[in-house]
Amino acid sequence: MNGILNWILWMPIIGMVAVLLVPKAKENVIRFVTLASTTITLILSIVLYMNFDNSTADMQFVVKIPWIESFHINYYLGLDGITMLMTFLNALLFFICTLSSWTVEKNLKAYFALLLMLQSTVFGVFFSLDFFLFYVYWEVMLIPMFFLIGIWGGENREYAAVKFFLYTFFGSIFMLVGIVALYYATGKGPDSFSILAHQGGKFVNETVSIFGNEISFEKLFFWFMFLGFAIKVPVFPFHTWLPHAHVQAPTAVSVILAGVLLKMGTYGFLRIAFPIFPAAAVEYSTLIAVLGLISVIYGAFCAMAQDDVKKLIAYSSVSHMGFVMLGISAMTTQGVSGAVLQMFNHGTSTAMMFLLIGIIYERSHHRWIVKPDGSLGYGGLSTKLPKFTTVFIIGMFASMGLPGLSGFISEALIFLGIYQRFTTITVIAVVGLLLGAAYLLWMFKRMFFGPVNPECEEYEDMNAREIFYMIPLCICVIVFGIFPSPLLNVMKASVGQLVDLLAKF
Amino acid sequence: MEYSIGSIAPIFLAPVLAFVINAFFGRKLPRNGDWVAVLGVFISFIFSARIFGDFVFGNFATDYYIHKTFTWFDLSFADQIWKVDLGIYIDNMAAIMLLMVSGVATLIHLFSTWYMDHDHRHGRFFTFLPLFTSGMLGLVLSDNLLALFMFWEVMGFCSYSLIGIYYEKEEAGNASIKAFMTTRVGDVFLLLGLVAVWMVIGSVTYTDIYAAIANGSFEGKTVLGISLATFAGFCMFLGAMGKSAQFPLHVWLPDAMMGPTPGSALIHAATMVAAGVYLSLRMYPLMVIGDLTTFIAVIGAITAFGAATIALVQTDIKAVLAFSTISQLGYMMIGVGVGSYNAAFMHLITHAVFKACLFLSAGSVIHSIHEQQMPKMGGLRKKLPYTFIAMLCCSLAIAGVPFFSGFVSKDRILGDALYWGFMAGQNPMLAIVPILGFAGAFLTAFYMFRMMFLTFFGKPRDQHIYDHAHDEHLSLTSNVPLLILTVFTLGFWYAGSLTGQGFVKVMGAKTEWFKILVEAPDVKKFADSKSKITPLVEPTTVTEKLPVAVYDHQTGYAGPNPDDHKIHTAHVVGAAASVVIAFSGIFLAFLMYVKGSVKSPRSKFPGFVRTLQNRYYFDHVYVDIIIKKGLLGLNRFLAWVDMGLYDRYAVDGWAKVNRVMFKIAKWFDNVIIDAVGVDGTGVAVNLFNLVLRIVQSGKIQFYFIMLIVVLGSYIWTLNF
Repeated sequence: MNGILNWILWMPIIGMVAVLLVPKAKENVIRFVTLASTTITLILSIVLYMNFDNSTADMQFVVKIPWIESFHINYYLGLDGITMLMTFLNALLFFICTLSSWTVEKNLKAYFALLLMLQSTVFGVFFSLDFFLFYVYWEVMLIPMFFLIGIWGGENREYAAVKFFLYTFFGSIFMLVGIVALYYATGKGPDSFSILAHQGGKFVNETVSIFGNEISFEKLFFWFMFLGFAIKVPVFPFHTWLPHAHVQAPTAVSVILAGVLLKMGTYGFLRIAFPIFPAAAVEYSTLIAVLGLISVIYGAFCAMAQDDVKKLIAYSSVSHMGFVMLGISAMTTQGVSGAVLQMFNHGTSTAMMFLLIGIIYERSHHRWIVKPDGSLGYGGLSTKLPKFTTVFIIGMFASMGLPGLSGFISEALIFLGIYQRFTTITVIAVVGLLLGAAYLLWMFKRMFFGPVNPECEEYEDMNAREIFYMIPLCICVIVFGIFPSPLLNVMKASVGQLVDLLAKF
Repeated sequence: MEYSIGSIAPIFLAPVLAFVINAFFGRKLPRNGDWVAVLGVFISFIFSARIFGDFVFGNFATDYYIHKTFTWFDLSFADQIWKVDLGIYIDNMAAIMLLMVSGVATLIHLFSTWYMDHDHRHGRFFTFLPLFTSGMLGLVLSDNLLALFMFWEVMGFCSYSLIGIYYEKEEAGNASIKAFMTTRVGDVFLLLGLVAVWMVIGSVTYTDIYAAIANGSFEGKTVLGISLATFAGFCMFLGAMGKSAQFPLHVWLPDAMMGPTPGSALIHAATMVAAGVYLSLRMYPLMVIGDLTTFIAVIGAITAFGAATIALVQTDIKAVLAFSTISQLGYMMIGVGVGSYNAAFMHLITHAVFKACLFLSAGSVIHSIHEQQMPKMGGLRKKLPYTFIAMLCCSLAIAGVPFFSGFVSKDRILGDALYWGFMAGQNPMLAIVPILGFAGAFLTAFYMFRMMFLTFFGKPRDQHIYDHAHDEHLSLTSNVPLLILTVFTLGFWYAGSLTGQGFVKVMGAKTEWFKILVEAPDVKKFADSKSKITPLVEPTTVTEKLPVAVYDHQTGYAGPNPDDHKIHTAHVVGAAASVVIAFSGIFLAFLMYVKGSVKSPRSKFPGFVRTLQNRYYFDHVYVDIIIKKGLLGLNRFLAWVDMGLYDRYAVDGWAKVNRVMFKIAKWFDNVIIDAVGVDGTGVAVNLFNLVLRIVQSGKIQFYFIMLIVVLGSYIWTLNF
């Protein structure tokens, strides 16, 4: 089983090469090659899950090959419980996105090639245990994203693509400085690029001198790392790239962006920022929690005012990722477990929402809840599209955190976790739950209730392909809402280790 | 009797299965699978009846209960033990509740097969109704607040779906969203309250909470400067207020009547709205040590009286019933507040039966004449004789006429309230609670018989409607459910005696079974129910030891003292007053609406009548001012700040600054460096020049430069 991470990581690249080899005109072959690649990846990730050892917090399926030996850079992959969930989510969402992208018309070959490349780089970010490798994947991931938004996006796609790129890149620079600093701080030794070797609060007493001032190494570089990851999450006030990117991105890219890419930010906190700089993390956890809280409330308020349904869901992502930040800033078993679970559950429920918006967009070619002239963009969809409505209700209520669906358990755990550390913040954060229900129900009412809008008369209900790719997500949302143990058991050792570590500081 | 999981689980699982079957295959089944729903709920009823029989006829002990738990999920790692247990807890109260819910639900499902026949949302209705029933039964079976909260929300979802079932109507959509959001206000606080208790006590299982109260675990714990018991109790009561439509969160319930009438009967009359009262009863010891009982009584009194006044001017038959439901829920809350635990719960049960029956009767009327406005009815007792009998008995029950169930329960609540308000040595201001209670009782009798007289008596006011009304024939689905419910509006089923005061015994030794079996949980009995309850964490802020009311359900205002002879006086006075009030209300309605000898005073107070018709302007304030002006305005403003201000000027402006810097660099490159001459200056300047030339090629590269600059300055400052 040791090489399985290699297979998962490189399978999309094999698929990409295969896609590139197919002549451009043979569109169906391209589609099925992509589907084959993502299906194999999904199967491999399920195999991985079945072989995963729940009882240990250690890295599993480790691959370590020297890469640039003079700098002690390794091709170093590994997987723990938190990564396991993200791996499964990534494999699942790309499989679904392949099916949802079936109808892409513009330059299909390049589109699927870039999509597969994106999948590989995301796996790379999650698997990397070597800082250099991590950074390479983190940056390379921007390239397919940039082109996917910039070429296949909406009207204002170039602005959105550049904005996305610059924002993320701005954060990455600081992260890179942090990585270089760690490299030097550990004496350029054999483990100086290893993420794991730096963990455990080794830099608590180190200082750096900047223009003659002694500054705590931890505190300084915690913020460097923080900036890199916070932009990715995105945490208020670094969130404004997200609505632009989402509105302009094609459906599948929105799904991936909200479903997996945002989780790379919170994953960075859990894997890098917190374990490497635990003292600073504990010291600044209040501030992180406050930023998370602002994201929750502010994101929800902004979502409620949106007339563009995709922008509304984009802001709801800001709000929901704020809950994740609250959970990890709690630094308790419940909080961090809830945060990781919320990462997964937000991935599935938001993916559903974006896919459904994509489905309706294919019929209406607009996304207005209320058009700029004040008339309703949709209306009465419940009457016209019963299947679509059913799936939409499942996705929406999962996103809202209705008990019995997946979002509830993660949000409840986050609240249980955060209450132990920040009572006041908990009391304010529950308002986020209220607002979350408000903007979603209001959107639903305006789109689905009321008399049928004459423009919607001709819409067809979901076809077999669309239903087929929504089913796995519906199952995830319902089954993990009732039986969360399969997800929680996988992560609890890793989460427990992190919480134990943070408890020492 | 030994209970295996197989003898309890079907109560919850049978309706769930019916829901699943109807959700997936309903449209392919004959009659959209309505019989599946009836069957599923009936199976629940069978198993519930078995448990009820065992508890009431078999064991007949106050402290008998079944408690079974299982682990839902487990987050334990190494030495940190934390897992979430769910379980089943059935005591006498739950056993009675199970029988009521499943019995009423079965009859309502049966009635719905007739009422919803030929309705175009027939299948959808019979998908959500069993899901709702399972939610309510699950709530009753739960042994802890987490599961209670989950089922609570599932019921909220079903209520939302059923209110909005005719979603093509604009008002249905508005009503459904209003119902969900108003109750959600309470729900998030309920979640907060349970989180607070969980994280300090270490468990939200009822028995553990009782044990924690008995062991004094709540003492000295504070949240935000308030004692934990008060904070958590208040949050939970807010949840109860939302669900049980208590002032000022009552606004959703009248609008909820947009849904089909049988759905209203089950959800918005008999069961879901009573869940808030059920929660308050379960958490009664917490409310007592949290010193919240007075608050609960006052809220209940305001609701009971206020809703009754609004009901006076309603012309829609369902609206009268909706406001009467709010009012009756207020009485239950008065009961909780004044420590009349047993009577509050009895009123929950009796009200569920007669109010379900009233709604079904109203449904029968509406189905027959296709009209909900009472001014267009009249004289219908000849057309709808069975419905008339059912509705008359229920109206007598709700008005509190002796021999009917409402008298037994409401009279005891009012008697206890009288004692509490006047004789228990309380603040004299609190006499307002019994005064409002009795005044509300008078109004109840009046508006219910106003409804009866307008609907069934007199001459038909709209001859066309009257002539086209369908004649009623006895049938299993249309009116037998009503008549069965009517039988249970008689008082002796609950009191064991015809008057509720123990005069004419008809049930032998166990006559007063209800009074004996249901009593406020005595927390001391639970003190050792779990070997030890270890708080998971120390309380976040401990300021000083706050005085916590010592729980004793037999003394003080936590409950009337049975040894105090005044309580008997209060009950006798209360009973007498109730009877007088009920009859005078009915008589006034008779004079006004049948004889016509008393003119309605409404023309003399046009302003007050308008206020009542506008429901004291609560909806106006909430929707038009708070939501439309306040909330939406704030949203729009923040969204504008976000994109129009912050993103546009701060974020993009920063990019513009960079572009200016880039131009300066370009100018520097072209003018200064070129002018000075590059050739002789050596490698360093050449490199610098190269860098600058990269800068010229675009914006993205600028960030690579920034990267190099930041890195370079860092290395420089570290002085390697």
